[in-house]
Amino acid sequence: MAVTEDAIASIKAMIVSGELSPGMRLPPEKELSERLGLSRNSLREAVKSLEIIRVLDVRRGDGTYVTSLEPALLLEAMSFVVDLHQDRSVLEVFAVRRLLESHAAELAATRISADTIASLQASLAAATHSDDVEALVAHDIQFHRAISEASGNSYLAGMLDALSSATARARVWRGITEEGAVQRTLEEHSAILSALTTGDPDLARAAVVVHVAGIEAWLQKALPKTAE
Amino acid sequence: VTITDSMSQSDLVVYRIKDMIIRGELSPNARLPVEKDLAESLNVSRGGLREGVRALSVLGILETRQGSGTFVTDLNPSMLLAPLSFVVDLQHADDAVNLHSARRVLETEAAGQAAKFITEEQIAQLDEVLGRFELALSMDPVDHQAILELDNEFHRIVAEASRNPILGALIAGLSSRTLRGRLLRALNDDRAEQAAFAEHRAIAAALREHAPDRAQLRMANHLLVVEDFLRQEPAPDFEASAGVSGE
Repeated sequence: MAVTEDAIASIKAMIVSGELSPGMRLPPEKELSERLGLSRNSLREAVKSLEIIRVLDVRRGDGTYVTSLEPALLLEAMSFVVDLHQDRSVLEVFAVRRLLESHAAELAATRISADTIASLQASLAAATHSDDVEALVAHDIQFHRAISEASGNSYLAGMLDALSSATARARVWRGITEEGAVQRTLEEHSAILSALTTGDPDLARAAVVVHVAGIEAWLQKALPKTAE
Repeated sequence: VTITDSMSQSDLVVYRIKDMIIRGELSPNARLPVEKDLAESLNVSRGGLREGVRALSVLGILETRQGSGTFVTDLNPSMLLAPLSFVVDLQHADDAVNLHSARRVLETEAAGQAAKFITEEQIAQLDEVLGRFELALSMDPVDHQAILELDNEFHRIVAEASRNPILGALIAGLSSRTLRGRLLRALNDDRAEQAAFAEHRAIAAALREHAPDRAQLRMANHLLVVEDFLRQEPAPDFEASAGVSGE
C-alpha cells in the first residue's frame, strides 16, 4: 500500500512540476517504473487509482495520458461519495448543496448567457408535460449543471457535480413523482429561471434556497429513521 | 456508470464492489469474501481483482489488514473526499481566486454553523491555538512555519464544530497544505500575520458568544483579505514544491 502511495506521489509530482501536462502521454510503463525506482506492479496500481479519480486516462492499445485536469472532471469522480451515503449523510450533502448552489445562482444571475436561458426554458417546457422519471432527471441535471457552469467558478461547479449523483437524483425524483409534487418542483425551477432572466442575484439565490430546502424537508420525512 | 465491453477487469472490480456497497450487500467495516471466492463471483482474474482492490484502498473505500483480510472502511466522507486536495494541488495559478472564493463560501457557512454548535472544549482548543499563534508572532524572527500550522488547525477546528462532515471534508480538501503554503509565502510578512492573528481572534470571539451572523462576517472578512490580495497581485509563485519548503 505504502509503495502504491509513493508511486502516486511520484506521478503527482511530475504533474505539479509541469513535466507532465494535461493531455500529455506518460512514458512507457517499463521506462517509468525504472525511472521512479518502482516495481511495475506498484506503478500499475498507482495508474489505476489515478485513473479512477480521472487524473489519468488509460487508452487500451494506445497508452496512458494525463486528462484535462479540469476541476469539474476531477471532482465528478468523487460523486460516488454521495452514492455511498444514502442515509443520514444525505441531509448533510443537501445542506452543502443548498449553500453552493445558491451561491452559484447568485453569480450566474449576472453572467448567464441568453442562449443558456433559452435552452433552459425549452428544457423546462418539455419537462412540464412529462411524468417520466428519467426525462425529469435528465431535465434536472441539465438545469442545475447549466446554472453551476454559468457561475464561472469551476470549483463550485465541480463540487456541485461531486455532490449530485445521478442515482441520488433519480431517487428524489421517483419520490417527487409518487407524491404528485412534480408540478410544484418545476414551478420552483421556473422561479429560479425567471430570477436569472431578470439578472437579479439576490432573487436567484433566494429561489435556489427555497428549492433545495424544500427537497431537504421532503427528505427529512422520507428518510428511514433507523440510521443512527 | 454502465458496464461496457471495453472495461478492464480492474474497472469491473471497482464498479462491482462500489455497487455492492451502494446496495447494502457490503456495509461499512464489513469483511470481503476471500480472494478466490470473490474473483469467481465477479468473474475476474485474481490479478484483476488485486489491482481493483488496491485502487479502492487508495481511495479510502477498502483497507487490507495484515493477516486478517480486506475490509470495507467506515466510509468516512473526509476520507472519501480526500482526492479533493489532489485536485487543488494540480490547479494552476490563474484559478486561485476561484478556488479561494469557493473556500470562502464553505468556511463562512461553517463558521455560522459552528457558532450554533461549538462546545466548551472546542472553544478551549481555539484559545490554545490562539495562544500559540501569539507566541509564534512574538519570536524573533517570527516562526512562519508554526503560524502556517496553527492557522490550519484553527480552521480545522471551526470546520469540525460545524457538525457537517461533508462541509468539513470539502473545506479540508480545498485547504491543502501545498496551497496554504503558497498563500502564506505570498503573504509572508509580519504585518500580514499580525492582521491574520487579529482576524482569527475576532472569529473566535463571535464563536464564543454563539453569534452565527457575527461569526460568518468575521470569517468572510478574514478570507476576503487573502482573496483581495490574490486579485491584486500577479499570480504568486506556484512552482512545484509540494508542501512548504523551509525558506
